[in-house]
Amino acid sequence: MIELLELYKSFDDIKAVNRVSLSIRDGEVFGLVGTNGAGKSTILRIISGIIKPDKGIVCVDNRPVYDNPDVKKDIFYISDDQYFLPNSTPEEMADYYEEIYDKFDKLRFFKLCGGFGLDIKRRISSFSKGMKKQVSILLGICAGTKYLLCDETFDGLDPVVRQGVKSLFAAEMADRGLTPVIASHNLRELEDICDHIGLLHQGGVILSEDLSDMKLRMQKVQCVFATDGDEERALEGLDILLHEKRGRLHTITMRGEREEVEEAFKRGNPVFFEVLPLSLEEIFISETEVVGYDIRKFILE
Amino acid sequence: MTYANLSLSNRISNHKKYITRTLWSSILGFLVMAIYYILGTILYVSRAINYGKVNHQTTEYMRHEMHNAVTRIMGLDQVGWLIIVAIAVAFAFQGFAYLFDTKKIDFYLSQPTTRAERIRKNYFNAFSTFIIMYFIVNVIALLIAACMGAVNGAVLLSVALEFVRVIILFFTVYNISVLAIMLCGNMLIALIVLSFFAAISGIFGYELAAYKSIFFATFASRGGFGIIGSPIYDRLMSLRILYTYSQESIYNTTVASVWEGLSRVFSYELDTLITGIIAFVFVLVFSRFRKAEDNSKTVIYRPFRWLLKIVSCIVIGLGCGFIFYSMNEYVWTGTKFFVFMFIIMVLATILSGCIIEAILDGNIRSFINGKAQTVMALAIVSLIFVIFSGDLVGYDSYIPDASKVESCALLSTGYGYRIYRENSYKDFEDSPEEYMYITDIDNFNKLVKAGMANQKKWKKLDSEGNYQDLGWQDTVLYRLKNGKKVYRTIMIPYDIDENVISAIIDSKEYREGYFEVYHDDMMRDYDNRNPKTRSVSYISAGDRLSSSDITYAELSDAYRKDVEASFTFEMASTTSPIGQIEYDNNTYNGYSSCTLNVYECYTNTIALLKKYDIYMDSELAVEMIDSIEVTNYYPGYDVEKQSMEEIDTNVDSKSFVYTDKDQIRDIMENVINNDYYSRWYRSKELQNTQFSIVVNARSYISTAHSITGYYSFEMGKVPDFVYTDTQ
Repeated sequence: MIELLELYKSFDDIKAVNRVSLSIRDGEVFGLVGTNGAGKSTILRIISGIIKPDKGIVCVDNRPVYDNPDVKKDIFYISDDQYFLPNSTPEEMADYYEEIYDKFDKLRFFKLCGGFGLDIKRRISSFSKGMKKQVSILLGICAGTKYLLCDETFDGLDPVVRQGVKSLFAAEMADRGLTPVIASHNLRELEDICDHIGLLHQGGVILSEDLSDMKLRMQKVQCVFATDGDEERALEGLDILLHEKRGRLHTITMRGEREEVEEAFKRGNPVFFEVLPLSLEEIFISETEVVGYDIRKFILE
Repeated sequence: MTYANLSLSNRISNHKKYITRTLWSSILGFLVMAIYYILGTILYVSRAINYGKVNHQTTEYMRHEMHNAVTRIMGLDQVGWLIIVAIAVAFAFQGFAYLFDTKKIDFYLSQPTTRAERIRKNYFNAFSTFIIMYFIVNVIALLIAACMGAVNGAVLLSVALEFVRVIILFFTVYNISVLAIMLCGNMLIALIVLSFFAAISGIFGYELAAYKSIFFATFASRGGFGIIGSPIYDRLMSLRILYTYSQESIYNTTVASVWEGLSRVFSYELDTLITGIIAFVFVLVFSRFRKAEDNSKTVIYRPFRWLLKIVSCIVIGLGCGFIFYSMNEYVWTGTKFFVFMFIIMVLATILSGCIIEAILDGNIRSFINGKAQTVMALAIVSLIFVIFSGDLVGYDSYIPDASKVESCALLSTGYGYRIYRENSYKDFEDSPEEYMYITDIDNFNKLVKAGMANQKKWKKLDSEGNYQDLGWQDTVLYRLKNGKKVYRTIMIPYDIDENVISAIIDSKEYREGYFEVYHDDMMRDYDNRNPKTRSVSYISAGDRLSSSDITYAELSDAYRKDVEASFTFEMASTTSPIGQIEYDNNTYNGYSSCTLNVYECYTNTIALLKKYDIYMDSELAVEMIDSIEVTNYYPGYDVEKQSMEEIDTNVDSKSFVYTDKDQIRDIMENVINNDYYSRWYRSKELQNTQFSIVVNARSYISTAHSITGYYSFEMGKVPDFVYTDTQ
């Protein structure tokens, strides 16, 4: 488990991380979301032991991480622009990491490279941006570490590869309890992979919750009422967050358990009623508005 | 860093790949080293062999030259250290350049390692790679040299000692480079800081010496610049010392000679090593404080940035002042000149402060920032100017306490000894420093005190364009008991207490340091080896007689006896030499020469000259003289009765030629020959400098050719008719 407690980090006059407290449980996919400069990379670099926080505590499995090789061998950090040794090939990078990480699985790496169509004997410098990302992800997965920190990792990956990587993550989580921590500025990218989301803005955490909890506490409904009276009866007492009306078709986002909402709508006897799946984006728009942020201004693309 | 359970061969293979990827300069360095050491050895030894054959060198001498060829490539006196410096800098920048790049920092520091271990690994990689490279090329070069017959015990020792020296040099330059990197956030500024570290002590040392020469009348440009903490300067000085040492024939002939060579440069090696250790300690300290995010800055630590700026401003300010002085000293002197010099220093300091600030911020608009540091630099520059111009440190009056002095010496020489043999040259200019150990400190201090006061007076007049002959100028050396050496230029006044100067000049210690005949083994040896080419000439009254039968040893022995028996200050200051001996021995492979003044009281020398029939009377017979031309430089004046201030020095000189025998006799009875320079002769008091006399006569030896002699009138003995004729 990774725990951040009251973390501060500033670069000269800029507060990059401001009083951040987060818990990342083992075996879940943690998504760090925020705009550029929100502090996502800084938090990942602190967790991976690259930079030292000015204040606060960072513990990985209850051990401090900074300058602690015993802890760092459980962490693999993939930066947004991963460095490779000059003129090296994927094979040579595997050789390099094989010496560093005890559990590095070179054969698996070669296999995965083959599966993703990467030539292990070709110089990485001649790879495209997306191919370099793939190499770094595969190196990270094959390092056999417990935690995999990914900074904007899915940027530059085509949808097929992205899906392949997500499958790999899922398999690793299932096989050996990998805990990926993924930072991104794109909510849509994380939606179908993260179990828990931490939303950052200007160095602080606005929100940190399990996605499933969020989804359980919020419903999106499409319905048609016969009369205005039916509509009033149905919506009475509900915590409506968004309400759109096109003709007679209503699309309503509201707080509440599914059963509670269905019960309420039964009172209005709707002509048509359907509970729709909520997107992460919609959840965040709704949640952050409550705490005074207009998330559309800074998170959505 | 964690090491997985890999086999040794896998580890070595991976390490090799890592080195070639991260220290690619090692490949280039290896290539350059191979070219220099291996190819250089082959070429240099081949050249020595060919040169020896072409010039018919003896086997022994040719072998010596071959040994020298090897040591010049990879021994103590090699110049390949420049390659080592370049490799050390390249390795440091390649190993630690990751600190300038966030991407690389993330890559390396996210790995399961500590910062200290990361640094240790970089150090280990750099040192192991360098040592392996250097060792391999040296072993190959040595094997080749051995096959060519150019290796002996001395060469092996020289190469082995150089191996240690090279590691020390690499260690120091590497640490200085890493320190520069640790203190900076980007490569450009790190390179600037590295240049600063490499050059600052040297530049500052030269500037201080330059300011001493400008402001201190008694400054003597001897004894080095006291530069410490500069491995480049250390190496250059070592090279110079070893080069001078290599001019001596004993060099590289024995193991002892190699140890002797090392001992001569040991202090510089020690300085390099201490500098390296200090730099290493600073690396350890600053690496602990350096943060991963510091690569966004130019100079990471503010106090160091201030120091860098202040010191640079001071050095630039002083340098500009010196340049201004050098450009104008010949055309402009006086107080106004120094005021302008100071203004230049102030302006240069301020301007450099602005430029440095703009460079360090990477922003031209920042040039007005950091005023506090500029003001501080300005204050220090001003203070230095005041200290030097007012001699607040008492430099020009410093005389060491007698109890702290081991010995002293007067450093002037006088007999033009030169020897060049077997590619080694010696001019005996440093003989007094090497052999004169005067221990009568009380009298020496009295002499120096009077000499310093007189030197200041002379310097002041000279700076005003008023040159005056106020005494005997000399450089003095104090060897202090703490090992330090103090040099000063003095001008011993002519009216110095004769007891004081006699106590020094008449001493055995002075004689043995001043006269080369006390330590002329090389000359004797050369003369013994080349008896057929020697020539001893006696010159007197413009004539010359020569002999090749007199050996140098005979001459030296006779002369030494005379010096011991007759040389005193009183004699040398009041007596003009009657003639001069010129010794020459020019051979195909070298030469040696010297000149010896002969005084009337040097009976042993005169007897030797007579024995070989080359002595002649110094008095020219009147009947041999055809004419005498007397030139009066100040017609209408009498320098014996008038001071120089009263004389118009721009007046045209007037000459008169005497052919009348009576007048010639009158003149010759009152003249002194001044063909021969004599160190302590009181020419100003005993000779009249208003007139010059050129005597044209027929030679005693061959009446077919004429001779010319140069004389001056004795003080107070200018015949009246001369004044009249040259009015």
